Amino acid sequence: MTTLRPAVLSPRTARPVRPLRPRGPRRRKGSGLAWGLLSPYLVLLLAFAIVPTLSALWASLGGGSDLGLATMARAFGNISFLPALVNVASFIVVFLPALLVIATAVALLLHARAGRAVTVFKLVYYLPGVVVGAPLVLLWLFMLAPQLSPFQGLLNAFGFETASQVFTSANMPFIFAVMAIYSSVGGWIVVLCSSLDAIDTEVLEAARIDGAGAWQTAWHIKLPLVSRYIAFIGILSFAGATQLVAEPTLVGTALPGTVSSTWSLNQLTFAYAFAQNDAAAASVYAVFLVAVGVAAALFLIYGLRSYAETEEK
Amino acid sequence: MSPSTPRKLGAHIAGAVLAGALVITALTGCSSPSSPDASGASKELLVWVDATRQPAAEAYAKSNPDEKITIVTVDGSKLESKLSLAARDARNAPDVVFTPNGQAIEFATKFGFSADLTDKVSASVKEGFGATLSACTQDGKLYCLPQDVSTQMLWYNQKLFAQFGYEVPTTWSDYAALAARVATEHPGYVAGSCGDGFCPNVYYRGSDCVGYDLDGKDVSITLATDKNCTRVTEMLTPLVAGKSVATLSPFDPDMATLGAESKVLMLPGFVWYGSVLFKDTFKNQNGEIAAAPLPTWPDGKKGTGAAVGGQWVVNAKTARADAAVKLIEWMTTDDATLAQAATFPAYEPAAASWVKAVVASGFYASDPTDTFLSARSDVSGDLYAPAFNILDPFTNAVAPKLKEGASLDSLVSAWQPAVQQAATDAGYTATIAK
Amino acid sequence: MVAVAQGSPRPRTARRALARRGRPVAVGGWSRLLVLTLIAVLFVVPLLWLLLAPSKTETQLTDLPPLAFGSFENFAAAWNNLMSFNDAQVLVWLANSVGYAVGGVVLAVVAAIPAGYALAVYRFRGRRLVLVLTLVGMILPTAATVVPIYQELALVGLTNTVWAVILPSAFFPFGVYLAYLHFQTALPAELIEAARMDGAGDLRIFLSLGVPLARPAIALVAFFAFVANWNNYFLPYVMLVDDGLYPLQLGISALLDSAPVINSSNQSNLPIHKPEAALAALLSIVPIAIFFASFQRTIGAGMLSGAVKG
Repeated sequence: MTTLRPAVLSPRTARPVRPLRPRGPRRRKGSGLAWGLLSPYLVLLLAFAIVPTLSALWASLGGGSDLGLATMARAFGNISFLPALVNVASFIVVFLPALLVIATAVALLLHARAGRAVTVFKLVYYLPGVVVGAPLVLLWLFMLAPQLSPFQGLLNAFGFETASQVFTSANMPFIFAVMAIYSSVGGWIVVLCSSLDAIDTEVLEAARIDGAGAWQTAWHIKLPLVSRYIAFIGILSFAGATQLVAEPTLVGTALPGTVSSTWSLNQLTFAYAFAQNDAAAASVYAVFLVAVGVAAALFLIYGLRSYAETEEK
Repeated sequence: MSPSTPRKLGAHIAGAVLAGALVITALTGCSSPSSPDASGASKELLVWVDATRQPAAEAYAKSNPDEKITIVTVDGSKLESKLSLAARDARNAPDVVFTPNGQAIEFATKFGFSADLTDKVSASVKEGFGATLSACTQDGKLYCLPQDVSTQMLWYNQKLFAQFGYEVPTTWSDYAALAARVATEHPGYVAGSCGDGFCPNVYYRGSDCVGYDLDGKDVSITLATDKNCTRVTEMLTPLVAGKSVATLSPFDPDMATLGAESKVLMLPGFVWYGSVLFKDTFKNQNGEIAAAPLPTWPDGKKGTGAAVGGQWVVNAKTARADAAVKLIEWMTTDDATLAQAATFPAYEPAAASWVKAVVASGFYASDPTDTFLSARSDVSGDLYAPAFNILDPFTNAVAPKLKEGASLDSLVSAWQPAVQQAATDAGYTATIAK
Repeated sequence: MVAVAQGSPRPRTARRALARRGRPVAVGGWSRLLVLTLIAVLFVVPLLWLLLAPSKTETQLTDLPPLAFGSFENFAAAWNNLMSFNDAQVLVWLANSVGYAVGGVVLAVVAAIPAGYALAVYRFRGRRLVLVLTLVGMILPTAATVVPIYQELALVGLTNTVWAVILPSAFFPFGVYLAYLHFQTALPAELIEAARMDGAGDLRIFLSLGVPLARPAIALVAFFAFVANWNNYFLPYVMLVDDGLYPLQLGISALLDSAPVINSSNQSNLPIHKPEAALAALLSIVPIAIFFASFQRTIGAGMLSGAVKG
């Protein structure tokens, strides 16, 4: 994973330039200090990640009594499980590609030219991320109610005249996707802009001299260089998306009867953990979510790595 | 520096960090405010109430300073999660809890939280509550004291009725006929609501449709077989299709818009709809809204949907049971407190003063005293599910599809499995009756 | 694919010519600005509505056009109503939020920066494991961990205290990963080898090379940690019962729960309606907006410098 400067772009330049890396001395010396420096973080990792996860795993296995088969039957046999899974999947299918495309496209557009306007744009895109929870839902209840919204024209164009027409089961994945993108895309734009800013300008100049236009530069040079970051954002957003809980709960409270109280998988998890006082079943879902998150992470890491590698050739 | 020093140094750092962590936890743990006191005598009485009950609770705490009462506001929707956490953490567990959603028995079953008050409450107090006590009773044990009872009645806009020349329906067939007329003569006006759990709460329970048969630990779901239930489905399906019964919750913002436009013609509902819904949300004017007795079915069955809403529960593990019981008795029986309550007191002797205060507000078109008080006789014995009901499954499984245009009778097949799941979650073995 | 970086150095003259022209790449200027502005408008309009909402009364919110301005009196009235709740408890919540955010940030930085350094610079057994665990830690669902964490803290009697929020917030794997990426490229192997050959021990290297170079990473980690803590709702919700300890986001939600704002079946005498709710939301945005604006410079260009090449 570690490389040296300058950027390794094409095999022709990289190999002759890279000096031999001394291996032996580094491994021997200094591990003590390394552990010392790591220890505060390790204590936290242990206390707030490892122990809780193992505890949840243990609970989902039924506390060791029956390998958790009864618990799993209870959890996966709940009639709301499959609908919740489908709901979250449809939400992710709408949300994730749109988020990545918008964040990348906007970051590339912003990066195309420097200037003070860029800072202002970044602030504007970022600010909505601070509105969370109940005020966010309140905001969107107004934004999506055709009679009350500044976007009335846009909503009418889609054929929506009243709020009840907007907040239907079929539209829920899109509604939550809009809320989630509005809140989170700004932060990712900031991250991507920073990573684009870090691209060696020599590379970009070289491209310009070679006659590359803006699109080609963006597509063939900038994009592969930040692909790792896009994968990173994808992983984190995917994991966050599987845990969608606050927005469906609040919409269900504000508009009774529009959304089931176990619309999303995470709502079902919390229902078991708290309303049912059944931490074991909740843990089954949680472990399931972790597995799905890790699988997505692996997929994105290896998927985008091979993309970057083919582009480099 | 010699090669071994960094390693030692690293070990030192690690050790220091761990020690520091332990010291911090020890210190802060010791200095925490409300550490449990074994004797229990001087311990504070921790009371969780919702925002509506908070003023009355604070008043009681102030007038009883030696009881050392601490009031914390916890919203009813968050109670379950907070209690399930407190169950693992005795230090922060409350001594008294007010549940606005009638969950006392659920708390007893799922968390083992609710104390048995059978021997702690005097017989005369129990008598004052009458049949409303059934919502607190399971297996002969009393798990709470009821704060209020929501009786059912038919709310209607007297002005509009006069304007349209309608007569207030007294039977459900009259109601259905009138609603069908409204659909054709005045489309856009609302003659009922069926968009969330309030629909079964009012219509189905108003037909003595419990929705299931309980036999020990076995539950048989009878929504499709019980005549009391099927007749409601038959009545409502065409009305929903004709749109005079709106697929909107009474508390849906779109319903509020209709209400503000004075388009809500009539709504079967609860006694507290008057102030909370019509006055505060729809903003009706004085002299518009009136209450009539709930319509009846031909067999004379009246609204047994009268429900107990708020309940006061005592922690089974509390160290101050007597103080706790004293508090909840006062909150549920004190005349002066109850007269100002937002909801209809369950305690019979206080009911009349409550109605008097409500009528004095001048909001109602005609005096609802008789309607309010007579509805109390509708509260029957053992209607309430120990830990599950047919209402939430309706909200979750039926209402969203109803809004998309599916017909009500086709959705009973989605409703029953949801009730089955709820019953299973509550620890019963549930089957759907064929 | 365009042949890029053929490895040969650019002729000086061409480079100077480019430098004069400024940034080498220009996208159709106006269309770019148009798209960016359009998106910005879409983003700003809801916030504008939020800004204008407290200037209207509850009924005006539905009667007047969405972006109309009401009156300053309404603003003052909404403010008074908000402050009337439990003696301006909203301000207590605001102070709590700042406290939790700062406390969490300090601990997160103290833990993450050295950890990132160690992971980037040293090869040791278990290094890969820690990296993998860090990645998993970033995607761990809170639903899985929150109840066990609550039980842990209940054991040491820390629930319903400020530590119950600050300590778990100190666990910030995202920050560790950022620091790791930063040190990987800011501190290349040659530099360390050179220092070693000069006779410097590991601690000396850390203090004289690592710490000064850590500044950008500290800024970045601090920024993200602050925002994450500021918006954190679920952790304080689970850990705290005393409403005097609530951070702002939790307090606002609790406030809106008891008032007929989101849930109109709530019966309450509180003078909290939609204008007050909007004002409360604005109260939670303003500090972050200031924070972001001041941090913009620090987390601007080059902050993740070199990291992308990792």
